[in-house]
Amino acid sequence: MRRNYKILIFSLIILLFFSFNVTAGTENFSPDFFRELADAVNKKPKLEIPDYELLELDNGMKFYLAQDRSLPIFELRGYIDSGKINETEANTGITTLMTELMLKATENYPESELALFKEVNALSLNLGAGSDRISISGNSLSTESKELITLLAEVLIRPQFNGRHFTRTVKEYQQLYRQQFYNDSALLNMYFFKNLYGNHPYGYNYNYNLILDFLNKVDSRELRKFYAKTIQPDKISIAISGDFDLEELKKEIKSNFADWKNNAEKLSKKQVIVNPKIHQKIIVVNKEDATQASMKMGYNFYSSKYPKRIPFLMGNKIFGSGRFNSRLMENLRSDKGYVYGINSQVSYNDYGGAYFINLSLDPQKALAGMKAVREEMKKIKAGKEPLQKQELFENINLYNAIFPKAYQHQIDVLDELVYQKEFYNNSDQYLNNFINQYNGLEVQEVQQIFAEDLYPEILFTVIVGPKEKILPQFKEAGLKVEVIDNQPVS
Amino acid sequence: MIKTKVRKLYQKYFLSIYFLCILSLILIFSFTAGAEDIVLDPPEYQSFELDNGLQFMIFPDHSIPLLRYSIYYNVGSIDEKNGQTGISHFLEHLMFLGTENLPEGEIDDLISSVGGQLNAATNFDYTYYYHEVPSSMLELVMALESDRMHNLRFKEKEINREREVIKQERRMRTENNIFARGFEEIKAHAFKDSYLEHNVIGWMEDINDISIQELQNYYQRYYSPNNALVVVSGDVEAEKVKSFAKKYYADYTASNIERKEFKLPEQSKEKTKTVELNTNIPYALQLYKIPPADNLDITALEIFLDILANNQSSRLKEKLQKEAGIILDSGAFLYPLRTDSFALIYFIPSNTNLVEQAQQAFDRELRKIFAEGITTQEFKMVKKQYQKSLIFSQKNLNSAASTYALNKLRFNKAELIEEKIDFINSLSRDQLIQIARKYFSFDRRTKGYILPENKGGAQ
Repeated sequence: MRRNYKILIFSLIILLFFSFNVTAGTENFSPDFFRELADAVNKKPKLEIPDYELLELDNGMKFYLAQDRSLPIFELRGYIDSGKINETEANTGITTLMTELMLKATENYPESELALFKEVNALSLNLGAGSDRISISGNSLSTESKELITLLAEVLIRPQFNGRHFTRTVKEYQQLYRQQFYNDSALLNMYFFKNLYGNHPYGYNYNYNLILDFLNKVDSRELRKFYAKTIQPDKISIAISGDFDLEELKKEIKSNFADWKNNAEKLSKKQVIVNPKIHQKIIVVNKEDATQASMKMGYNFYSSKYPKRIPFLMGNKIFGSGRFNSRLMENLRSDKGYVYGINSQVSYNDYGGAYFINLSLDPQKALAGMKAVREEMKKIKAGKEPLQKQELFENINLYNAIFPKAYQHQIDVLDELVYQKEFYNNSDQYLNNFINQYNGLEVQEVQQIFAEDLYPEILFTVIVGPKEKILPQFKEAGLKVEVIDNQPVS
Repeated sequence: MIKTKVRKLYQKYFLSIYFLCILSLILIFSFTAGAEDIVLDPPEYQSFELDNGLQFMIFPDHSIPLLRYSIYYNVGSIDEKNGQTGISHFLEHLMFLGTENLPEGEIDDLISSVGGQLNAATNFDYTYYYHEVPSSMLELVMALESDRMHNLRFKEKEINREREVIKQERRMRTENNIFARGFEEIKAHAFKDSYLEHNVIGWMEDINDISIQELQNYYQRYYSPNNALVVVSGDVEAEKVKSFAKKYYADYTASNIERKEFKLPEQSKEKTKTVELNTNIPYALQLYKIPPADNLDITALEIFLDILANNQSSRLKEKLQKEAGIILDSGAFLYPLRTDSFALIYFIPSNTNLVEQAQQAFDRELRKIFAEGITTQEFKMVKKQYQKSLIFSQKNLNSAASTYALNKLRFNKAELIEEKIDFINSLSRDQLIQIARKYFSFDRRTKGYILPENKGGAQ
């Protein structure tokens, strides 16, 4: 009998043990259980800086070369130290048109032949017209690296602006810019940035009327002249990473670029002048067919040289990174259900930046949304709900986790190194210094710097949407609104 | 004696032999030059399945201390009933509103606190959720996803608030985007009364009407272990995944999932749909039915569309854009699914007055390519680009993992990509045209136009 008992008890223990094993995981689920699992502090990363060789040609063109034989590929990234900043009111849009045409045809390759040359060799090459700089990016398989260098030389040194492709591209651009008047976010950007940057090339470039005026009168000679002024070897720095033979590549670069001469012409650049008249101003751009109101709220901000950039970045991540746990998302999406997404952004330029909040919401909730954004800013500004240690920790912890991924590939590190070194005089260790700096931040410092540069009282607001649904709420609140009836250009 | 005979014969036929050798060399050379084989370097992975049918795939890569944990559910908008369109996407939103064990916002807070990121996406035939976290957080994400698979909370107030957010999303992404809005209507016309009639976001009236009970039923039916696939890529050990899989998923039971019949009606006559919107630029779309993603014909169609519309030197860009100047751009996409699906070829006429002319020119180019075929150079070019994209894709293991995962989820054929490459390597130019002709015939298409409301407007 006793023996049977023993067997029974023993069997029960075994049964209990197994049933515990099967359900142990899921039965324990509770906030505390998960919190215990989520105990992770990520290590401060240290990025490996590639061992590069700098090749500077006599004409000042620079190449940063770093081998990486992990895959049979060849990648390049680079910058030309000129951009939309060099435009005037009369030639607004010329940088974008010029870079597009440079990629279309060259003296040696008419349009169709150039497209074929790229595709037969599976080459990719792009130019991006930025506010202060033109970016270059390209890649190929390592077996076609020579062809990619040839293509780069063709595009940079021997672009062909004259011909059928010029006339057709101008016509295409005219149509594309006319279409911007039918696009909610393009209209929003136009009215926000042209007012914010005012009489400055950064602002001209969002003024589609100015661009269309220019396209109506541009000829290839004007492009050639602008090209000669802005695209010169001593303004160009290029990072190259991949599977290549260093000596052969250097030879190839020299044979393609060494004879290219500089032009002595100097480029003018000017600072953005803040226009206080736009402070607190509200513009409604009437777009009758819009079922949603798109909104931007913001003000002029520091240039790229802003010394408190890193603490401000961290503060802004807490405020408006667009993640669910950012202040703006928690309030306007999770609590109020006003928006699908909302974020705050800094746009740094060398001659004046912008700080702004992007949101899109039901037109009848436009004012409520505006007020909610302003309230969230005020809570931080006035120190009523200061940034918390945990919030800063989470953002630093996130950066520490994702930094190694963002710079996993050598070309990404080399690209950033070239950019920082050439244009901001930073050291090769810029990225590691950046990591050290955000890791060294204290929440009080971040709160102070972020709050200092938050200005809820001067927010300039542009709303694109149907005015009949937007205006009554502002009228009821006694707020003055400038209404612009969207007039598409024909 | 024999030697002398041989020598005589050799002298007699020397020239013929010589030319024969040269000819063979030319033939061999032209054959290999025209058909350079694409080579795939497949990623290494391990897979296993629990008794309840939950499948796992693990793609290790220890280069950085991060992992990506994705869970794919084999359910998407094609599985939805009439009156419940958008329910898959609606449910995706609810998955972030908390469970019986975790209050709203907590999932996001937990992932944020460890320096991770999470998100989700709903597609026509699947829904997936992913976490990107430090590798030490494997157990956390496995436990969180296990909780969401079984214990989702349905609270009226939160659901109705989320309903408003989804409506914002629909307004923002579909209604206020000219192409998306026009495309939605044209596709609905092309695939009327079928599972492809509506888009993933669903119709606004259905988003308004979907009930909490319907959401709950949908969750119970489709969010079961036998309808899911977990993919872990990055800094991870397969043994750990196995151990946590048993701990957190083994006690869930499989459900019986009955799927509706997925049949797209055969089209034997060309259809046309015009949508007038507030636009300056007109758009012309051609929609075609295509087979499921595991049909190897899909690979041939991809190549064909690059040659026809996507490449910078494609037929449409060369003839209609560069030579004739009657279009601003052209392009094409395939939407391969686990069921019959669709392809979209579009071009943007330079202005409203040129829509008809551009359509005729498009038809001419299509007829021409069907009649005359593609050139060796075109074929070689797309294969070269295909090879390049395969090599570059090795830079990002997550993208390779997702290709393998989708093929596993849809067809239980993770290595489908390898079959596809073998197929391309054996494909001839003639076969490619035959396949394209089969799917892109005029009588099987729907032509759609998005035109300016006021036709006398800007030109």
